[in-house]
Amino acid sequence: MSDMKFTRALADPDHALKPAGRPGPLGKPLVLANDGLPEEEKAWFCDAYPTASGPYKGILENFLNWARSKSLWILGFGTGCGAIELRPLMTSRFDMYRFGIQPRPTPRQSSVFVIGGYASVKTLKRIVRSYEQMMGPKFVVALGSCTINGGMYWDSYNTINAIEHYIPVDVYIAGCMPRPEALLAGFKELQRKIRRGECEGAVKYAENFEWYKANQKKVIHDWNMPDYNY
Amino acid sequence: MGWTTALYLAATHFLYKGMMWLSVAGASLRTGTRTMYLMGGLIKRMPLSFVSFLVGIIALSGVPPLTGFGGKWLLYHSLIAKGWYFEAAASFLASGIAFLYLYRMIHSIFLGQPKDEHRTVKEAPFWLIVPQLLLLGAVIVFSVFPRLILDPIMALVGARYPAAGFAFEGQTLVSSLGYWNGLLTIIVVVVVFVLCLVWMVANLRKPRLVKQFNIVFAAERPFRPETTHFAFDFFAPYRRALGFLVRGRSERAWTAVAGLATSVAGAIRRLYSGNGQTYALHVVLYVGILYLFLGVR
Amino acid sequence: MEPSIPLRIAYAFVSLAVITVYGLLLIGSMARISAKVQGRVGQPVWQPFIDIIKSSGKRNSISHGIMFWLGPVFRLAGGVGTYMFVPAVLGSVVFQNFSMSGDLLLVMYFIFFGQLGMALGASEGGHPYSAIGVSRGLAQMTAFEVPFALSIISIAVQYGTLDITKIVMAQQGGWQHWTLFTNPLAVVAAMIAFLGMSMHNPFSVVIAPQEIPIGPPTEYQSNLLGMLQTNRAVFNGAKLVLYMNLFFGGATNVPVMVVKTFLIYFINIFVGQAFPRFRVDQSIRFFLGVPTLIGIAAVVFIAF
Repeated sequence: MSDMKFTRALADPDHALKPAGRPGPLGKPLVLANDGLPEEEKAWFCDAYPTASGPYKGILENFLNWARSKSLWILGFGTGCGAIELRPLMTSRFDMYRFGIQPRPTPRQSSVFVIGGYASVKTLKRIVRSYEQMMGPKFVVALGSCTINGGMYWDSYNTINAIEHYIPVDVYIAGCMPRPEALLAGFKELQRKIRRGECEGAVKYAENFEWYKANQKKVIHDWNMPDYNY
Repeated sequence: MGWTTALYLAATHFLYKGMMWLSVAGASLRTGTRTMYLMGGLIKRMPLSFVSFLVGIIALSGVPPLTGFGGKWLLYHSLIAKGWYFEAAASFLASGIAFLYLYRMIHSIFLGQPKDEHRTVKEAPFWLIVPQLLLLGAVIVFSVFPRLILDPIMALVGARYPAAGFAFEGQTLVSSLGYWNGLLTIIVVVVVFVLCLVWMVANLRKPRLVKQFNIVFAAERPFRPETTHFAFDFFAPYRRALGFLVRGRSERAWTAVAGLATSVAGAIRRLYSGNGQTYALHVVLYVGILYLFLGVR
Repeated sequence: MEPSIPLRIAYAFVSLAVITVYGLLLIGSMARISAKVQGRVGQPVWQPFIDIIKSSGKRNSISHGIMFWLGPVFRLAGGVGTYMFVPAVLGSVVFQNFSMSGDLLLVMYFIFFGQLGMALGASEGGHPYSAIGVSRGLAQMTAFEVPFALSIISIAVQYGTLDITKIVMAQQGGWQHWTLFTNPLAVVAAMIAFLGMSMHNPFSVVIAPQEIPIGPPTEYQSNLLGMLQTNRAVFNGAKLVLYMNLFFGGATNVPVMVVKTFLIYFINIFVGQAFPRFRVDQSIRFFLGVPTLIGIAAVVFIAF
């Protein structure tokens, strides 16, 4: 089932990623075409093909996963309705700080991206850019039913129905909107998954990069960024 | 003590200011402009100029372990021993602000965002680089062995003012108020720096070298280097806080200085009248004055 | 001095390890105390250690150039170096560090070393917010250095020396001899300057997340961020130990050092919890106003 999902969109030639140059030793191209950018702007952006390193083995990775689960820094980017349910978590009543969760202002320093509800096409472009700027290993928590199947905006012209076709998601928290207690339960589930070693979204993104990029380019038409935003 | 300080400061100031002027001259020559905000990001194309400018900044702001700190140390000890306390506080403020305005220079010229038209500039010409490197070497040598420059100065000053306040015990410079060991300072700093560098390199995991616009721009992309390079109105908070002291006054003062220089130069220019007989008169007058000064023998 | 060079270096490492662990625990416990003030549970006391392990365990990183890498190295070297030049515990060979390299002026000027490197590394990142953060931070720093310098000069005149060990020895023999009681104006000016130095409210605009995305460390990630976090602990520890030595009588053993530095840092938190932020021009005007007058009064009081 999951393999079928990853091969479906590649049949669409209009939005397939156009690699530039000869393939490297792993069969993947070494540089990206960045054809969304005019020629004079290409020198400003890095065009290397994204790679993601896999986990270490054994006790070292267990230890690092334990540390990652105890120190989840979320990106302070309120993408949708879920943002308003995140704010009570910072206050004294629900207090996410005791789980090691802190909001950080830049994607460079955060490891968890919280998709707070519906993603309009305009927001999706920024979500993709911020996600690609985060450092691996990175995790995505999707709040609300709009991220699962479109929710109440399932037939809208401007929102997308399934966020996992565009970036890999680790934990879904259902609801419209889920209460702060439900969010805390979701974060605890994320911590358990990280400790089990199941949250390798960055690796999944790099390995299926063409599929994700083709999906993104199908809906985002004003693509004036490079193909991978470092 | 004051004489030692003054001579030492003059000597080292010559070294690092010379370095910085040469470095900026190289940058200005290659980019063809003197306006700082039009330059930017030249560190990748002119790394040697950057290094000499960087060492110049470190030395000028008096940061240990380079020679500037020796000057500041001597200055403070002299001032406090003489009882000029408020001057000492003012010079502390001055060295902080020195670092502030030099940071603006190095950021606007060498760091920040490179512009498109400067993508192919070369390093400064060879004969501008060589003196910079010589001065750089001199600064480093004098930082490691401050005695090399202080012994001659103290001998000179000691000949006229025998009750000098500074003395050397081995490599440690001692005064009535405290001490400073230049060699040990620089050894400690270098060892600590190298250890931190080793730790960083050992922990660096798959670094990706990215280009100038791969920055976190609040989920947008920056559009032009000119609008992304922060170089204009750099010290807005200072201007708002203390600008009332200098607004208008400093501009009028500098305009007056420029006017004075122009009129003096204009007056001196009239000596060159282009008339051969006036030049002959100049020569005769010169010989006459020399004769008068040297006396009749 | 009696110990040989390798032994000195070993002692320096021990002393550095102690101050790093203590500094990280201090940050964690202060965060927990602030949380209790706000009525919540707060993060565990050992959270800074986990944060550093997590940052160092990231699997990839971004670099903008060599100066970008050197920025945190300069900063951490500045923090460690500042600690190395301050004698931590009076009379203890282990904690003597390398304080025979220079006196108080060396320590005061070496604080600039870390700032300089961080400023350059942040600029190399190419982000305009980093540069704005640096210019604000440096502007604030030049402002709070004035009352600090005046208070240092006042102390230098009072004790007749700039040697930290001698200043500490002059304060031994009971708490009445502390500078706090013999020269209170200087201590007040220096503590206000300390608020500016540690960048807590009301002077936290430089690294405030809501103002500009974290200021100078905007582009820093992975193990570089881990280095910056470690530096926070060491540099804080160095400044606290310096303050303890100059104004509060120094310490003759490690537990006393821990208690005194904890209480000094607590003053910061105490003030910080109650205040919002100043803008940079407001803080420049503040520091050059009342604290400078207090510093001038301290110098005048001692000198005449």
